[in-house]
Amino acid sequence: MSDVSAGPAVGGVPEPDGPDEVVQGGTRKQIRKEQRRVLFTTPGFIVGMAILVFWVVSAIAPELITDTDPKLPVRDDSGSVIARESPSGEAWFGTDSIGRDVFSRTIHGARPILIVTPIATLIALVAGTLIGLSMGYFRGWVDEVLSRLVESVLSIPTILMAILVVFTFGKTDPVIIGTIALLFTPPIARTVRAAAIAESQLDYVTSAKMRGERSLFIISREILPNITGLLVVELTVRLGYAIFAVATLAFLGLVGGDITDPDWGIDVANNWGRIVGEVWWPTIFPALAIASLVIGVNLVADSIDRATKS
Amino acid sequence: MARFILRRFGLSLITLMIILVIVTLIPNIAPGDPARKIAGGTASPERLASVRESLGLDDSVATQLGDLTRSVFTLDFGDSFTKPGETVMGLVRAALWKSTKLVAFSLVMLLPLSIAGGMLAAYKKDSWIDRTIVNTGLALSSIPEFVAGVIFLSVLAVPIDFFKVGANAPDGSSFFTQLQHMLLPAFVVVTVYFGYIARVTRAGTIAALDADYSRTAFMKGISTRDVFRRHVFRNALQPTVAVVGTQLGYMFGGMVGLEIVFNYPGLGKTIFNAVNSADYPVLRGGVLVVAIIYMAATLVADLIIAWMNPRARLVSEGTS
Repeated sequence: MSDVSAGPAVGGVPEPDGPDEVVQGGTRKQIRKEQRRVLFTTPGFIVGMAILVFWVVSAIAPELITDTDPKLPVRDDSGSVIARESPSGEAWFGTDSIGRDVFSRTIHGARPILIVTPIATLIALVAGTLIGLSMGYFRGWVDEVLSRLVESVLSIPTILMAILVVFTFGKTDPVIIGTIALLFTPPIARTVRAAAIAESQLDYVTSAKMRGERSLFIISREILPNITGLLVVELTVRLGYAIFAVATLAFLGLVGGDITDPDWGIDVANNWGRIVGEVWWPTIFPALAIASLVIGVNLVADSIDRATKS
Repeated sequence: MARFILRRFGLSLITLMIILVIVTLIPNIAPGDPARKIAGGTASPERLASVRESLGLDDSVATQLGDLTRSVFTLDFGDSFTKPGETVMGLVRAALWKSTKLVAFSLVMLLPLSIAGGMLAAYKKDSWIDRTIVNTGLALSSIPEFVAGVIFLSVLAVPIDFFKVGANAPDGSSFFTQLQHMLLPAFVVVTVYFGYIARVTRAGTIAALDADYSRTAFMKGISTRDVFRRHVFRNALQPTVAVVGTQLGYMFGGMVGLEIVFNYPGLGKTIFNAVNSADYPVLRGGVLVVAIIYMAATLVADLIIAWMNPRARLVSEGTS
């Protein structure tokens, strides 16, 4: 992917003579560099990235942040379990109803969602791009048929379809990844299709056709490099929705693996009933973690979107 | 217009057929014995047989598809597995009525707020007001409803008596008591959807304000209020109508987490309960009803757009 997006300059392929190649005396490379510079100085991008990096570190190496075991109850000196302890200097986020440390569970809880959602989103992006490009480039009856299929999948709320599929196929991580990937492929295909249609009408595609290039070459080496900005935006936006969907599935108990493992959605599901009894911390901290991750992804997605359009 | 309606209606029917095929195929392509999955691992052989019988799993896929199609058009999805004597449609209808109330009340709060917010942002484009509206809306959108729900529950419902923990008022409550109970879930809907609808309205308004007819109107010396009323509204709100149409289906069935947190027996919770009790007919019926609502909502939205803007009728006949 990366050598394609670096542009056809790599590997001696002729530069596509697209309209955005020479704009105000800048080459595409310069424009990209400028976009990146703008992006890296946007406050939204910096804040969003900081949040994301924090959760990615938590997911990869939680022991850097906390050395408390998320699955074992905290005990005092006499060995008795300290349950439902409100947040304090000892346990920053308090302890839950069986005495486990909420801070440690919140940090460790980043892992499951940050494994499942990026994989699912990447699969959906690859599949959606392939389908969308062929729909938009070839048009015709294949496009008509696939468009109807895309529309039907979109007309059932993602979460309902996911419940139906995960319920029938079993609560395992591969099923959840496959379901999210399958449900996100149509909307990505629709966006890519629209972009491919717009690109196909530009002169550089027409001239490539005149040169007698094969369709595969035109799609992969001419159109694809010109829509990479859109794909990056689509990847981040869909990642946000994937987090939404996977967190909700976990909250509903439709999740793979051990339910005593730290997981934000499961922890909220197990503890929210105690909010009314004023034990709010085992629920609110994982809930805020989900919210912050979504906000971080949204901020990054929006900044990239603006940078590619500027 | 008649041709446009017919064509649009035909497309909806095709979409419905594809959904029916997908929903029919799901249990058939699932690995292992679908009846055992649906009935649960400990089900007796008689129970398995009755599950197979009632879902028609022994029939060919084509027969199953035919049966399901018939159920959609007669709105008869058979009997519930777990609630003896209850039909699927009876359960779904009760839940649908509950969902309709919650969605209607949420829209009454959401639409004026987010449309006004979007128009204000467009009018004050690039000011701090614009940035605040756009950025808060963006940050809050796509936060899962159950997350916003539990946060509101702990910061509003627990300390303040006025806000109720459960969204479902006791039977026979007055209109206002019912609204009082639905206030927090409606807040959640506003939180989650405000940004999206305000953004779409903002974009539509900016385009309409930039258009020649608005410039001309301003230059003629017409007051801002009248420019908005006579020229901007009708044009700016078309994308908003389309988005509200597509979001309606999601609001009806997709707010499972919200309905669970506020213990509200709407469609989402009914479908979720069906999952937990392995009541597959209710699950399937509920999903199909939500799909039908979604299609009806997008159909109506498209017709409203066509009515607002005659050009849209031509465009959709050209491309689809």
